[in-house]
Amino acid sequence: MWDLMFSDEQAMIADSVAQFLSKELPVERLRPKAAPVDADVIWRSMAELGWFGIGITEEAGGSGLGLVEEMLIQRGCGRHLASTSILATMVAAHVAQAAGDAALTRALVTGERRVALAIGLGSAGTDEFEALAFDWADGELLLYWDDTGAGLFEAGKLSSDAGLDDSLTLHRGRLSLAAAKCWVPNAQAPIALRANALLAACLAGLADGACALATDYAKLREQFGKPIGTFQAIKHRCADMIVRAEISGHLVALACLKVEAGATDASLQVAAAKLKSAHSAHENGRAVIQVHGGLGYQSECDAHWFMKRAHVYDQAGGNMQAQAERVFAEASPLW
Amino acid sequence: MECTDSPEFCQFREEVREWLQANRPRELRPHNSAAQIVYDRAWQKAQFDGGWAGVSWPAQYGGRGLSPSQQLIWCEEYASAHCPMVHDSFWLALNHAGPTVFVRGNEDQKSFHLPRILKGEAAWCQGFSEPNAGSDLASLRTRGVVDGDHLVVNGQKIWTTMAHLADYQELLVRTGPELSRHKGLTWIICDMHLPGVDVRPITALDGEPHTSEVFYEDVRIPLSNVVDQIDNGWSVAMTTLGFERGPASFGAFCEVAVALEELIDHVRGLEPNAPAALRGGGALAGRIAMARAEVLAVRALVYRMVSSAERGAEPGPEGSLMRLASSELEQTVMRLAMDVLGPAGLSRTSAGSWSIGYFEAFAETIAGGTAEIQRNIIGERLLGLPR
Ligand SMILES: Cc1cc2nc3c(=O)[nH]c(=O)nc-3n(C[C@H](O)[C@H](O)[C@H](O)COP(=O)(O)OP(=O)(O)OC[C@H]3O[C@@H](n4cnc5c(N)ncnc54)[C@H](O)[C@@H]3O)c2cc1C
Repeated sequence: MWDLMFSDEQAMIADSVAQFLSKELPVERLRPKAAPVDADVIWRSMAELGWFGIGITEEAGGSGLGLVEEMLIQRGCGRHLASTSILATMVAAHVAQAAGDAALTRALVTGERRVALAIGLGSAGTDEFEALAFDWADGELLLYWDDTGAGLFEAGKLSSDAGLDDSLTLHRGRLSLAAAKCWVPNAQAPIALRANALLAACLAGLADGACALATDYAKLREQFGKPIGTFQAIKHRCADMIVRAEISGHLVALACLKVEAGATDASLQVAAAKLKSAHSAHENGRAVIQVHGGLGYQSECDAHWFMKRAHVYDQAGGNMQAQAERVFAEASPLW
Repeated sequence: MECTDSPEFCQFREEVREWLQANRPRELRPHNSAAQIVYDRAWQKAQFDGGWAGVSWPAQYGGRGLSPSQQLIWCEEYASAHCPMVHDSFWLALNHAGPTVFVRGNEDQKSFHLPRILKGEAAWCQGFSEPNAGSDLASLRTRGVVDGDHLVVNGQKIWTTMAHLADYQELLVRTGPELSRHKGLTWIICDMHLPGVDVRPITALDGEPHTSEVFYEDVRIPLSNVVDQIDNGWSVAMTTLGFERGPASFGAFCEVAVALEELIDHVRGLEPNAPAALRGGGALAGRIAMARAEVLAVRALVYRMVSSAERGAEPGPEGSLMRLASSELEQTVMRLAMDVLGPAGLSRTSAGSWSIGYFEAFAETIAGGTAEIQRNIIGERLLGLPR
């Protein structure tokens, strides 16, 4: 039995996430002259809303819901270009729980400790490798995962770097798998799959946000005496954006359900969801800039953030090339 | 939200699979038209006799009275079992004429027509498009004039699929003033065997007579065949197109999903001598992966639409999302197949059903409203962009 409609509770969660993010993290906050938001206050509010532990069992301090509810939050985070640390902390709580570290799990669920997302460079997966970390602050743990497992790392000293996506701070340093604070092999718990499903949710959220921004502008901006949305070159671009956003969103939801159900095709579904959503996010990220014309090229316009963030989510957890190889190699996904 | 294989559905799927395996026609669909209709009727009748015609149609009209999810399971298994392609001469009757009559017709029309469709007694066609009214359907000019208890029809339709094999037609005619556009149309059931109906087949790019021109000269159709009311045909036509663009695409989509898996099997069969482009990381392998992800994404959309139908929703403009995504996907998959086949694709003998599928895919973004028209609908009705 499939049911891809939200339950009443899920619809409520999705609404409350959208409301919170629209109020606290509107995309306009990223404009060069915008008043800065207080990230720590917002972080505490998210913790109070129970975001970090929404998929963690109640005994461990969470809400006892599942990956679908985590997905609803991450879709919103993608749409609003929120910090990657929200995803990293949410996933880190599962790593800590699987590793049997109850105190750390609780500290993550309550938002007391924050974890930053790490992506391996070049020779990732070898014993010691160079890594990039996003939105990291001194003292925070790093979350890294690959095909073999997922783990938390003490960051030590990281140097600052200039990020392609300047809505996040970027740092670099070295990670050593042997020195992981905790490491959970995939065979023990499919945390990497979970993390990739959530990245796919962020990507679908980006595709959706880019579509909404482009569509709003197409209704407002006038040239030749009428809104540019009357021109089919623009209208059809927007139509393609919503098709991509919609089907990616449904695929991500299905992939999450498959992971929850422990389905045999879960890893194919997640790889397909990440591949398709990354493609949608890149395409929509490009389109929203084009729809804005000259304004789309400027830093004060919100359009460029979607394009930049798409690269971050795409490269984390195995990029499109890696996902494509997996999708190609997997067994038949038919009924 | 959920996604589990309930024992009830697993058992249902198993039953469908067994029945189709045992009963699907073993001989291929013949080539000439006269033999095709005999073949299609016999296969439809076999499904009816087996109790499988109209899985989600009400039992009262000869259907099985099951849920939209079970209808989808039927489509999936039908495609996997290599049954005759879904686009046969009963496709239209089963997928949009019947559903339109069911939703908009009166009791007499329902009890007369619906069982005839399911039993394989009546094939249908669609007379909407005209030489000067394609995308701009509301400009159509074929006239219907009330004369006593008949509507007298004069004019011409074109691109009417299966007109040469059909018994009835969804006929859309102008009953209002010449420039009344949407307001002066009537949706009427036309018996294709009436005097004055002249069908002239047109050869398509694959050499087959898929569609026809249909001429009407003083064709007298009883007024009791009007579905809904005189001059309210636009709204009925929207119901028809809602089905055509939405759920009617499920069967063909399942065939595309199966076709892509067969292509992948073919590629695996080439190993270890496969060209580099077809090995993991190669250019064609990358396109195959993307197409597979795309198939899974459209499948998720199908599940979503079925979930919504389970709650009693009738198909609306979201059907255009399905139509656009699945028609372009079909072209992507068929083109990919031609590239995988390489020079073998140049021979219709070596390419086999791939060349048929490749040609047919070109019609998918035209029939039922072109891809451009679907994008207009999505832009205007789903996104609210100005006209
Ligand atoms: C295989 C096949 C089977 C068919 N079967 C049937 C059938 O059974 N019954 C039936 O009634 N019809 C049928 N059709 C007809 C089909 O519905 C029409 O061909 C279609 O609606 C397009 O109309 P047209 O051919 O007049 O093209 P036109 O409307 O002339 O379109 C030509 C081109 O202009 C574009 N265009 C037109 N208007 C716009 C616009 N407003 N914005 C952007 N682009 C636009 C179109 O997208 C297209 O690319 C069939 C067609 C095919 C190919």
